[in-house]
Amino acid sequence: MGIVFIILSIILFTSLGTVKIPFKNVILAFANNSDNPLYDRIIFNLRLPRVIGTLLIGAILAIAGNDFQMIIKNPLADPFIIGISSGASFGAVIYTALKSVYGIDLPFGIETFAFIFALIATIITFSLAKEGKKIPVVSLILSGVIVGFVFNSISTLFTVLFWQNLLHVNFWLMGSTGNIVWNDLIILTIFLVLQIAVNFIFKKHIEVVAMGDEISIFSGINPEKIKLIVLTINVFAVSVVVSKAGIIGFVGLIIPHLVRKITGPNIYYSTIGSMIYGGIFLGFADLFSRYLFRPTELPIGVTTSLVGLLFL
Amino acid sequence: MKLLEIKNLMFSYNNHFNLEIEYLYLEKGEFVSIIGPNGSGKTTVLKLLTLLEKKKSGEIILFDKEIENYSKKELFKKISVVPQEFFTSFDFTVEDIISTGRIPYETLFSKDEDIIIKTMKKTNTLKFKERVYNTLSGGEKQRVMLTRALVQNTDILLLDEFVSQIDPGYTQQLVRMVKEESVKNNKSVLSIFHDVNLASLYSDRIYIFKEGKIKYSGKPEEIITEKIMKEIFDIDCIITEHPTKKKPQVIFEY
Ligand SMILES: Nc1ncnc2c1ncn2[C@@H]1O[C@H](COP(=O)(O)OP(=O)(O)OP(=O)(O)O)[C@@H](O)[C@H]1O
Ligand SMILES: [Mg+2]
Repeated sequence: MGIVFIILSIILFTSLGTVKIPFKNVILAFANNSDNPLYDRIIFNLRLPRVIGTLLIGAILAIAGNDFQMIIKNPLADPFIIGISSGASFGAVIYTALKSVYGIDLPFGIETFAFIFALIATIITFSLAKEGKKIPVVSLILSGVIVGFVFNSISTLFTVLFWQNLLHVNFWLMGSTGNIVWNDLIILTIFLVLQIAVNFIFKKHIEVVAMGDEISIFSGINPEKIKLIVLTINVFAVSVVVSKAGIIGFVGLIIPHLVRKITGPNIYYSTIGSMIYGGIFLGFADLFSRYLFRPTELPIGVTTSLVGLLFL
Repeated sequence: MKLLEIKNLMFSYNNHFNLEIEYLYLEKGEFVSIIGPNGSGKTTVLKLLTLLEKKKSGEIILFDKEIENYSKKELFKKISVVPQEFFTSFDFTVEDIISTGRIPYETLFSKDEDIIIKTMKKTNTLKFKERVYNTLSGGEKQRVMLTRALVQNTDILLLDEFVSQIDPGYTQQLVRMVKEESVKNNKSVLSIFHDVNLASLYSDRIYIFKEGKIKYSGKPEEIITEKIMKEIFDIDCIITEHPTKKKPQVIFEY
């Protein structure tokens, strides 16, 4: 059922845009049977990588959110609470400042900078939160807030100083899947597969950790080890997403929360549910962002946040 | 045979509560209870035995081996626990929770399913199988947690006030069941009780804790006395003998 849903939404999302392509032509193009080279170019060069990328990103964010909520035992946690987003913004701002303000030529692109600083911010958050061998949830959240605050302050300082050069960074940070190309889909797919693999292999372990630290220990499990494995894979996956598409909030918060209302905390069902509905939700958000405001776009992060507001 | 021995154990929570146990042991097939006032360190002993807290000094020997040298998995094939209380933030079902008792064995074949169902029948929790744990009553939750420990099928059962919220009918049934585990299946039970009469009726031996130390230990008839009850709990009571079991029973003074 989920598969049918996804295929139908891919057709829908590919059809709609600044140039509207009839469903029939989309299907013909997919079937390699098209007679309209312009449609083909729009579909295969512009729209399809974006649509599939959006689905993958929605899936990754929602699965990450589900894992975070389960592992830190907070049904309304967001994967961004541990500093990933502020780290990535900081990386992007620093990159642009170095490049366009100071004219320094850098060997990596803005994506790589965002990715590296997302990881650095998370590592700082974890080391601040660490008490002995344990990482208590409350200190993790508090450290996330502190790290976010520090990184954001520096980013803001730079933005105030050099606002002309940094305006487009802010736009980029609010999220867009518009720059996704075919090549990006490979790395996104790899991380989605890794996320699913970890969840399926450690199903029982993740569930018992979500039940509580003591019951994990009484079941012969080291909860800190499981948390580390699950958080690491998700931090990497989300950092890759941020480097490709900026900061897209609320998907990782709302979707898994709603999915679990239906599936319960069972890891098989909640992971698959988060994947499907996270992808489709973000697909609709992207469609909304680019279709309603055509020929220009609303950043997708703004759209998801607006939708998120409806739930609050 | 002594399965478990604690020797010269010292522990404190940030130096404000001190636990000192010179010697405590548990033999194979024994039913041993710990009683004592609130805050006397009973639960702390279980935390040390399950490595939730790390001792300062001393030895805890399980099957001739220091427990710190066990891997978590091996340790919890030997020890199962019913904690004093258990909450969870998510809507896990009763079956989800009980099946975690089989995780140390890392197999989820039909054999495990059989053990789970059989044990659930014994504790009369099968009818809650699909229920969300959080929606059960306090006593029902405790029955589920006992079932979880029983499916773990360990030589040693550690119970922390496992019938504190259970009605008289189930209390009798569950304590009897645990007693049977010790008598028939040779399991060793270390159980914390607040109900002195229950402890006296079912235990082979009792340890009485106060202020982090073992004040008395021995057979119920040796240490459940008016004088000791007054000293430990500051209660005025009369001790009578159980008409059939010949164990001391406490009757409160008005
Ligand atoms: N994590 C902790 N940190 C600091 N002090 C603690 C901690 N846990 C327990 N204590 C203190 O240690 C003492 C012993 O606690 P413990 O839980 O062992 O008592 P208990 O005998 O089980 O009491 P009760 O009958 O109320 O369950 C108490 O004074 C308690 O306040
Ligand atoms: Mg206690």
